[in-house]
Parts: sequence; C-alpha cells; structure tokens
Amino acid sequence: MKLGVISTLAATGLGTAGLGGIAGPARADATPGAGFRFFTPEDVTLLSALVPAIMAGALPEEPAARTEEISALIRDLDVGLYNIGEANRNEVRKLFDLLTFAPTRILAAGMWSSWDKADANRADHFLTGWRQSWISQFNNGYAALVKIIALAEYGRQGNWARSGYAGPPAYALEALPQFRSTASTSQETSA
Amino acid sequence: MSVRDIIAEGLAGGWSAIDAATADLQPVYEADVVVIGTGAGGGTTAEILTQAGLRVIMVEEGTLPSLRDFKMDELSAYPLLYQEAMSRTTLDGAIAIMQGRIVGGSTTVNWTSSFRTPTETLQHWTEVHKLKGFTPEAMQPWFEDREKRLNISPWLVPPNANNALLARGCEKLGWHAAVIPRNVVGCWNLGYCGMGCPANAKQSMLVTTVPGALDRGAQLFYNLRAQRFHFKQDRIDALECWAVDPASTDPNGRKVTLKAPHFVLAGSAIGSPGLLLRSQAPDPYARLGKRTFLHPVNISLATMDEAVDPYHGAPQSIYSDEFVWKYGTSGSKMGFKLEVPPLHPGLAASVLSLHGKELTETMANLPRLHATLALMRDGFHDESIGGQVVLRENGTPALEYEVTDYLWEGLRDAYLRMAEAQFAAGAKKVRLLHLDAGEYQSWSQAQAAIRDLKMAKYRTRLFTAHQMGGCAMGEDPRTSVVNSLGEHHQIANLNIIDASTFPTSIGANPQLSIYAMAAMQASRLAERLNASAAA
Repeated sequence: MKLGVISTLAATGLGTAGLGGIAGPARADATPGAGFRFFTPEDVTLLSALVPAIMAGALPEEPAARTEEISALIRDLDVGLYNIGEANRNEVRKLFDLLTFAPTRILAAGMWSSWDKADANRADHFLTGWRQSWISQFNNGYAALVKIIALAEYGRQGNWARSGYAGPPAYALEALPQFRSTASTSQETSA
Repeated sequence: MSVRDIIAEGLAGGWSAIDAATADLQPVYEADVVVIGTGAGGGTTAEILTQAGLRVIMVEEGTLPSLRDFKMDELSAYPLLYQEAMSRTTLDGAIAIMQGRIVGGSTTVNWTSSFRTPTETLQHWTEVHKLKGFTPEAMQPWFEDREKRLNISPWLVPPNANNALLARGCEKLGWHAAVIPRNVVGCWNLGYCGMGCPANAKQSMLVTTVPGALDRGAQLFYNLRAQRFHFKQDRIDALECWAVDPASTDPNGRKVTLKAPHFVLAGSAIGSPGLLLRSQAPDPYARLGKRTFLHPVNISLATMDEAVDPYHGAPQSIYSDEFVWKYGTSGSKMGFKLEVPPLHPGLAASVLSLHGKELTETMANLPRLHATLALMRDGFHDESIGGQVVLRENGTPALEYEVTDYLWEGLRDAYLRMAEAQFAAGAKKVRLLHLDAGEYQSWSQAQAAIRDLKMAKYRTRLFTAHQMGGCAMGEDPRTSVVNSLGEHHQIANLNIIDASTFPTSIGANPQLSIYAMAAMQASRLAERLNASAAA
C-alpha cells in the first residue's frame, strides 16, 4: 500500500488500469447493497458525493428532483457496470474499493473524512486533484469516473435538452417501423 | 423508400439462426467450413463459400439484432452493440477501443466510410512485407466487386455542417479535401450509424452477406464464443464454443463443439489472436498477437458561431488526405488522415474528460461544437511496431499498446493541423481533448500552446475504431502468421481472413480493405476446398 508501488499491474476496462498497485486485488467479499447488483452501500455514498460535483450546474435545484435524479443515475450505472463483463467489473471494483476503504481513500484521494461528509466543493477538489496529479494513474481514474457518469447522465433521453439536443428527427420516428407501436417490425412500411 | 426488417423476415422465412444462450443445443454440429466471426471478414467469407456450394456454420459472440433494436438511443445501443459494453480499452486504459460485438461485427456500427486500400499501402506491403497478389492492379477487380456488392459510391448529398467545416478549413488553407464513398442504399441522412442503422440503409454484413449466406442454407450460431481449438497434429480437430449471456457477456455454462474439415478465423485483430493464444496454437517464431495497429485517434473541438448540430446527418462524408503521405510512406513524421466524428450527447460528454461547470457549460454548447479527428497511420516506420494481444486471467483477450515518441510527435502535429483548419473554418475557440489543453482563442495562441503541450499517457485522450494486425500476412513464416492467401503457416486447415492479417495499418478506414481482401481469399479458398473434395 505504497504510492511507490503503483505499477503496471495488469488491469483494464473503463481505463482504471494501474490503480491495482495501490488498490490491491478486487475484494471477493464486496457485497452489493439492497436492490443493487454491483454497488456496495459505500459505493452509493461515494457516487452521491461525486455526481453533484461532476454535474455541477446541470442537476435540478429542487432537492427531491435532485435526489431522484442522482438515485436514478446510480441505478443505471449499477446495471451498466454489472454488464461490462467479469474482467472489467473486477477493475471497476478496485477503483471503488480504493476510494471507499478508509486507508486508501486518505492515501489516494486525500479524503480524511468519509464521503458522506464531503460537500460538492470537497468532491470537486478531489476530482481536480486527480485530474492534475503527477501520478498518471490518477489521471486515468479521473477520466474513468467522469466518463461513466457523464455518459449515463447526458445519454439519458430526459436530459437531452441540457445539451440542446432535440433527439432524432420527428419525421424519422413517425416513419420508421420500429417506432410504431401498432406495426409489426416484419411488415414492410413506406416512408 | 421502404424499410424492411431483413432479420425478422429471414427468421420467419426459415433461416437457421440459433441463439446459443437459450436454444436446446446438440453436443456437436458439423459443416464443411466453420467461419468464426461475422464482421467484414467473416461475413464476406461466409457468403462466398456458401455460394460455392459449401456447407457453412457461422459463429458470432454477439447477439443477432433486428431493426427494433436500432432506436437511435445511445444508452441502449452501446452496451448491446459494442465490445465490453463500449468500455473496452487498451490494457493500461490509455486508449478507448470502439469495436462492434454483434452479428455484422463493426460493420453494423461503423460510420460507413468505404475507402480502397491506398496504393502506397499496397506497394509497401508488396515491397517491404513481400505479399503476393496485393499490387494495386491485382486488387482492383476485388475492390470493384465489393463496391458493387455493397453499393459503395461517393456520397452525393451535401455534407452536414460538421463535415462541411472540415471541407471549409481545408479549402481556406489550400489543403486536399474530398467526398467520402459510403456503403449505403436509400440512406435517410439521419446520423445514427454508430447505434445501428435504423433504416437498414447501411450495407453492413448484418443486412448483406450474412443474410446472403443464411438464404443459401448456412447456419448461424449467435451469443456463442469460440473458446478453444483442439488440435490433432497440424490440424484443427474441433472448436469448443461457450454460450454467453447476451447482457453480461459472461459465459452462461452452455457448451457446444463444432467440427469441420476447414476453419476460417475472422474474429478481429483482438479476437483472432486471442482465440489462437487461448488454444496454445503453434507459434514457433512468436509472431502471434504481435504488431497490432490501431489508427490511434486524437480529437480537436471547435466552438462555432453558427449551429453545427454535430449529431445530425451522415456522420462522415468529407476527408482530407493532405497529411497522410506528405512525409513519405515510412517518413520521419507519422502521416494522418483527417475526418470528423459525430457528437451525440452521451459520447461527447464521456470523451471530454471534464467535470463540474466546465463540463456543464461545454455540453450546453453542444449544438455549436464541431470536432475533427486524426487517424494516425501506424505500422509503417521502425519506431511504430504497434501493440500486442495478451490474455487476461479469465482468458479474454486484451491489448497492450505503447505510444512511442514517434507517435507522440505525430499526434502533436495532428493537433496543430486540426486546430489550424478549425480556426481557418471560422472557429471562435478550439479545445483539444487533452487534460492540459484549455480553450484557445486564436490560431497563434493554439500554435504556441500545442508546441509546448505535454504529450503523455492519459493526459492525451486517445481512441481507436480500427483494430488491425496481430496475425500478420507474409510469405516468410519467421515474420508472419499466415501467407498472402490467409492460410496459416503451421495449421493445415485454418485460414485467417480479417483485419488481423494486415501487416500494417491501412491509412484509411479499413472496411473496404477487409471486404476486398476477404473476397479474394475466400474465392481462392472455395476453389481449393472444392478441388480437394472432387479429387
């Protein structure tokens, strides 16, 4: 558990490689929280702190809507990460364990208190630190965290308007057989 | 124009397409040829062998989608259609790998750009790698054959704004720019090629050669991973296959054995070496999985005054070859091809590598963003030896790829030229996908900053959509895995027919290079197998 041993330890998926040297092997005993397939309760706490920092200015202001959006995102990510294959799941497990296990959280993330006590400023400070770090594996971890959260948030249809994206053209949705609730997709359709 | 669900119709019409994840399976299936993979190489090969009267089994690890799966929605498309649910990277995480995992392979999700193999590349293969039958003259009829089969021709519709900006920048600077040939029939110009064509207009293997083979009685097993070859002396005796759960992509415990007198491996530059490594195939000169090339991609984003809507319209219709051969085929600087990527909101947000207000503000501006990409032409220079396929603990393949100084300097040069073209096209601001690059307000500011930019792993955001090499062609077994016909040097009843046999990268989007090579090699294989059956 020394920074000096950050190594080229084989690792992959979502770009979390190389963190293995400080993160250790993926815990076999990581138990998903109730209603989750992949995330532990500690992961959920971590994400609840990181998502508002990553999505600053984009989430709803109203507390209930804000909480609901963060919860929905975490549920989406849980399914998504469960489905990326065993090898990648192990790597993502290492990344989350690194950030939630107190000794490595302090060492790697500079977080002396637990994530449930981290406000958006503190979480932003952590993200910026990893982004700017001279330790390249932290740059990689930063990019991986931002990648999965930003893709899930901006990719969701309900959030398309935030990027000024109106979605597929209406004429295509009207004309293509797979969007017609009544038409069988095996029927020929004219457009 | 009419939109037909070719897959649903074919299944209703009696295709033999078996979902290995759920169907009742016999322990063993037999055919004349087993073709592993249904992408550009496997799809083309399966149809040609079937047309020659051979009984073919196709094996595909991905699932069989139909039109109803192509909903122009990123979040449902990426996990279904891409390797490792779009999370595949090089082993160190430094290069994101976009690769199809579906019937039709990457042809089901590519952006339709269809270039002939450049003359310079064919000459390099002939002169340096000693390939036979790959001169431009010898390949010409095969390009023509595939262009006809897949309706490949330059795109006559005006380019979308994202592509038009590349053309404008090049024109202002006096650089080459031209229209991209595309493999489409009745294209709606929507922009969702990367999520599976919603109108079945893209002439991918999913809607052309795979149906062509199935119509003639070939059999398709999908959700089935080719796990291991079993050898008897210098021949493959059987192929052990494991069914995979289509959602998690993990094996679900079902197994089946495929037997045939001949096998064709077309599992991609990562999958083909992976299967052979897992099978401990003969590799006396340690060539297997070596020299893997990626066309490493870097990206520059421009903010325009006008609307670009970079998610709408045919994603790639303009390219520039100004720099691809400028420094010579094996020049002191690496060449690169300039194109544009589409920017849908999920993918755009995920590649920015930004967080907080910077992410939010950049994404709010998405309709005015224009992106340029550079495809680095790797593999033509002594300091560009590519990557290496290795196996992970669970036996799945992964790629190691070190970026050399030669490539870093090529990437810096590409950043410079992309920014130059974007300012020439009227960009107000330019932002590179690089952790140290801020927003540049002018070409002179960008030029100075990019000259000093630290080119380092992870800080430089890199991507690949083209994986090539790893089972290189050549006539000398000491330096290659297969000969110029794709015949394995050591395994008597195996051809490899996919991008893994390219001795270098292509220097252009590779699909037509694979189609033409596969058509040539599969035709020769059909003659050989029919001749030996008659003998």
